[in-house]
Amino acid sequence: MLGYWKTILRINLTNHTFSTDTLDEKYLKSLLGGAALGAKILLDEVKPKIDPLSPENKIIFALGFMQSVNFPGNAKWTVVTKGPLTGSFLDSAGTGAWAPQLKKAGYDVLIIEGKSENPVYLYINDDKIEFRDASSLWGKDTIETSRIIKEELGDKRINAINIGPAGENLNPIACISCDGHSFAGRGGAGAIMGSKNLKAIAVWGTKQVPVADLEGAQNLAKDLMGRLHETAKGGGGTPDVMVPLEELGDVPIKYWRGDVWHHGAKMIGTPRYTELLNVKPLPCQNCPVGCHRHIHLKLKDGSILNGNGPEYETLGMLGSSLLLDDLEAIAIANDKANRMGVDTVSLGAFIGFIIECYESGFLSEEEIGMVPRWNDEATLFFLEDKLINLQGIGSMFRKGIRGAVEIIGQESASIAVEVKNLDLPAHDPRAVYGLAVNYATSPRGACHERGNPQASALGLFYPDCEMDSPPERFDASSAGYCAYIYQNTSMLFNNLTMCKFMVNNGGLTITEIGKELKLATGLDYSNMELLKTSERGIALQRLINVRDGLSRKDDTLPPKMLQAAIIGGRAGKSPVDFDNMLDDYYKLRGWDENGIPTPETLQDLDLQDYIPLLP
Amino acid sequence: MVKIKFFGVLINKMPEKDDKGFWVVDGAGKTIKELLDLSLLKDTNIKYTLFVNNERQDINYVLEDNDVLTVLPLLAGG
Repeated sequence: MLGYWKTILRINLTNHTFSTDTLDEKYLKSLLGGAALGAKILLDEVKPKIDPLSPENKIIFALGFMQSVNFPGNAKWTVVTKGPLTGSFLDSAGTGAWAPQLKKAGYDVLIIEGKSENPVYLYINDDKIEFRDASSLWGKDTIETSRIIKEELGDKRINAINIGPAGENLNPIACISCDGHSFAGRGGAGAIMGSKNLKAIAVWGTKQVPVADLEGAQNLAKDLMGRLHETAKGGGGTPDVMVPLEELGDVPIKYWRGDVWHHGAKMIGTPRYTELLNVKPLPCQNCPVGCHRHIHLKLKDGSILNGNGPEYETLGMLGSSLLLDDLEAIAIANDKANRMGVDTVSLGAFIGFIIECYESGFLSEEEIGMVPRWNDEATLFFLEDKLINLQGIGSMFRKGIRGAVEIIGQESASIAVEVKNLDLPAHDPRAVYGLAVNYATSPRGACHERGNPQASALGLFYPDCEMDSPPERFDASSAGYCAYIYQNTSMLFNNLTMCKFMVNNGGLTITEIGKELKLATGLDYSNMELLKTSERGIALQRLINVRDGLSRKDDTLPPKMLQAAIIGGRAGKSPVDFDNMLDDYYKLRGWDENGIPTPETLQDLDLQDYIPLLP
Repeated sequence: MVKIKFFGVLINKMPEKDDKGFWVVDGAGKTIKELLDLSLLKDTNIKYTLFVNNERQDINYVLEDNDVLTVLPLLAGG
């Protein structure tokens, strides 16, 4: 099978040794790579119910075939591990040239095992693997770490994924940064690297993996790059959706209590964002879309902020959710979170939760260290610092928001907006019922990337996947299907380790992905066969969670999401038929009424080897 | 006749709709561009992609009788 090396690089941090294994071609064909392949390895190699921060946990970086050629959006990698928030399955995706470099070094999968006695970073240079002392890097921020490693290795082209101080301190919302440019943000994978004393992984590769039709694949890549760029050029990046999503009622406002915020959305969304922050597109390698924004801003104190601008999710969680319409303050807080290496979604959720706990009388001024307020940059900066460092009020969040609820008191659980201990991202399931089912069933907790039904409300769907239209957003009878189909398409992108924006913002079709697959690997899959690989991956991820004791009882929505908003784009709406929606979803997946995949389903997915794992 | 449907945030850019949400137009032999120029799409910055009978086509594609043209917005950040 072409397009893959069929090679795993296995690193043992305890002994500072490495080895290579061969990937089973059967599973490469049926899973294609990325999140699905990573789930299979995690299921096979990591015991259930372990402490995610223990040396028993493993970190699996997995690629697909996309990195075999310069296909658009191929600068993407997936990390799979047991997450510190859910205690079970976690996958997260980051962007950057690290992914194609790992492929060029000769590997499809990188597995990190054990724990180093002292801080180290890895340097993978084709077949040469070095364990380098990272003592002097410990405590350095993500951007500084990248800079120093490039300098130390003597080549600015070398890419290094790394963690910031938050990951070193085992902060459960720590992320993994790729050259300070992009982040595997959600779920706390950075804390797992920190628990292994692994500061960074630098990669440089020089090899070309054999592909089925190299010239044809390169020509297709070039054609698609040109067309997608033409389609996407002139866009404003992810902040483009702030205003339209606010009109739909999809945006978090006042930690999910507010209804409308038209003025604020215009203050922090495009076009004002583009003008005020002096924005330039910041494309990843091989990206014709360029969703990231580089900002250059002269701050009130006269200093210059030069770096990554906040994405939509950050605008939502640090902006609208906190009623903060000060773009400069959001940009400063975003920059600090990026450098320290924390997920801005959960960060913003924790801050909103603290403010509401104060207003509800669950937390006092003394416990918080200040009187927290909405639309207040001082509140944002103070609480961000505490939460990043897990100090003061921040120490309550050492186990995520559920850990904080245990300390504050169970009455505060009615305020917390999370699923499986992962905070909701900046999309409201009362505005799109399919999103309610998606959040409840997403394997890593509430997630808008492992299924993106929110995009259906804007009109996005997949006409070449037996869809005639996007499901109606308030139709309870199609909510289960909505979650099912948008999870399948998102899972496909995560299996192939390609950026979803090639499709969702550039207009790449699923049919064209099939053409890329054929030219690179020789596999000739129909669009529905491609989505079948997604179903397999979702089943494997579910099996990991089931083995850890998760089931229907965990596929829930937070109480706030079952209460209707009073005015605005989702006025009077809430997914009150949630149980029926969940039943519909389980039936489509072939899971029983308790959310467990049936033996027949595993057989149908050619995953019969895993039937003995069923409870 | 050609049936045209805009989706999501582009719906209000359609010049007219029948009870099934289609703009039905005598468009056989015309390019997609010629027909879309009759709509309000020129007033928006929202990017879009085009499918004819569920297959992607470009804006210079010449439509045939009974074709169904789907105009799908590309706006899905997050």
